[in-house]
Amino acid sequence: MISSIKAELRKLFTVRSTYVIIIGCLLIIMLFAGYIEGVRASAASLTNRDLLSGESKSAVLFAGLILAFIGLMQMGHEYRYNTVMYTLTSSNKHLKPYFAKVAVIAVFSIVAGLFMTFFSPLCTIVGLKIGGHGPLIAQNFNYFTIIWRCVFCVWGYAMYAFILVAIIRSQIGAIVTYLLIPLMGENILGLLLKGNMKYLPFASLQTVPSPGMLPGSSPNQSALISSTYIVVGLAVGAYLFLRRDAN
Amino acid sequence: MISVKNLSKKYKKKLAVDNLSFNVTSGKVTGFLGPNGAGKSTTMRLMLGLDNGGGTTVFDNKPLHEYPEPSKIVGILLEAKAFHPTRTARNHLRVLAAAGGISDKRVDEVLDIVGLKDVARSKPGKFSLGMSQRLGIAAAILGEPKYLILDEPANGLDPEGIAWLRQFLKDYADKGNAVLVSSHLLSEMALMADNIVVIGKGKLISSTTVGKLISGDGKSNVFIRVDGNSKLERRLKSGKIDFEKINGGLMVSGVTTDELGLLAYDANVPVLELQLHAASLEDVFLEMTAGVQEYTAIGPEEAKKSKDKS
Repeated sequence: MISSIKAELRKLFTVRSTYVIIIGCLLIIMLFAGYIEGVRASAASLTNRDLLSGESKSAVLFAGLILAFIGLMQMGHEYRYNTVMYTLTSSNKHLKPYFAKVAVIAVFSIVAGLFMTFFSPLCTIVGLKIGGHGPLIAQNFNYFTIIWRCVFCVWGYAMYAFILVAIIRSQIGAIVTYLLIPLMGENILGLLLKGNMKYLPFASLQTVPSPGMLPGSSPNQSALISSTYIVVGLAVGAYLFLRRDAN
Repeated sequence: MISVKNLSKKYKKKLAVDNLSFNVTSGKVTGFLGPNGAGKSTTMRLMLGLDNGGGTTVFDNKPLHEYPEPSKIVGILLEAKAFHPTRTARNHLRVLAAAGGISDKRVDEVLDIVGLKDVARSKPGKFSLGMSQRLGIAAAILGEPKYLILDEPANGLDPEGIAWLRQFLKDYADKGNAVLVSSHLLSEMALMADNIVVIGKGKLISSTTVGKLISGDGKSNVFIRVDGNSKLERRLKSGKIDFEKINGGLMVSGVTTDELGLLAYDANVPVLELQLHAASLEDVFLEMTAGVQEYTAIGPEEAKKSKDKS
């Protein structure tokens, strides 16, 4: 298992896409949190006690969605470039590389989520300084609550992306599905489900950092719903990974 | 030794591999031949557990999954371009090395062996097919495995590359390793392989040595030119041996050169020329697989007739 994890780590950090996505996410955070909410902050923002915690949540909700492409590509590249045959024949159990991927993506997304949680408000603070705005009002920033919710959201996105590509086995197909489900699919379903929309996978995940997005949802309940989807999804992915031909 | 037992694979209603069994002997290069669609690649994938199907493959009496580090048991090359195009050649191999529990030092060694040292830090997306094959071979030998399973490794290689591959595989087998290699370059296979496994429509047609395959039962055509053909002809007719007059001599079927030489000696006929006319691997292959071609092209005349009909 250690060998598989080491190989997955090398895969992650030896492809250009990993760095392109990370840089893309950082630029997005710097643009929104640093420039729009910082340099060009309105007077009302300065008196908002939840400004910085809000920045953390916004960062993970949006940049986390994009960062998850790294998780998607970790598996998607295997099928796109047919390297899955090497991955499978270098391990004595096919599930080892599967769970090594899950572990590497999970750790990576947790670290990235943690970084985003603090990088985004930091960008806002720096932006406010650059913009010459007055001092911020004392902020509500409950470290524990914000960290777990934000990190959970980034991890959840990464797992969803991974599960989709493990099931679909096409990188392009998984990217399209991954973007369509939260942006269109769940919104359309939400019209039918109304109050029960909180039980949908992406809706539940997004309400972990921002419970206000859907009435009647709580972060703990949403986390439980998302976790259920992830566990079931990973199990289905693992089953298919074993049962289907390599590619 | 690799023992393949009763492999089978069905795609919907089509039986791609049908109860296939053969052995790949250690210390030998075994050529794996078959027409397009015969099931060679599927067989290789089944042997490696990449496809789900029936039957078993054991490597020294143990299935691959029972070895803790399979990369050190079997090296594979199933597709030349199986790499991420923007991950450098060296990093591609480093990833495989990490997965197989192999040191990075070995990565540099294999890059040197296959002649890719100078492009080790280049992105393989821009590699030619021949360079990609070399990278694939480097990946296969990374763990210094006892077994190599290579699917069309000579594709895209230049003549120097093919000669290198031939010698490399022979040397690799000489160290006591088993090499299974499929190729459509039959002349090359005749030079490279010791044993040949021929399949058609997923079934075993032949599993034997190259020599036996080419010579059939060991008795090929022999051309003989003697001083006094008629004397020898009478002798051949009395022995019920088939022959045909050709180029001032006789082409005799179903005998060895030794047998015909002795026959001429017995008939008291001076021999001027005696030559074995062995069939080529291509001749034998085409004859063997004539009835099991999955895809056959038609000639220009037939194409014209077909067009006229429609």
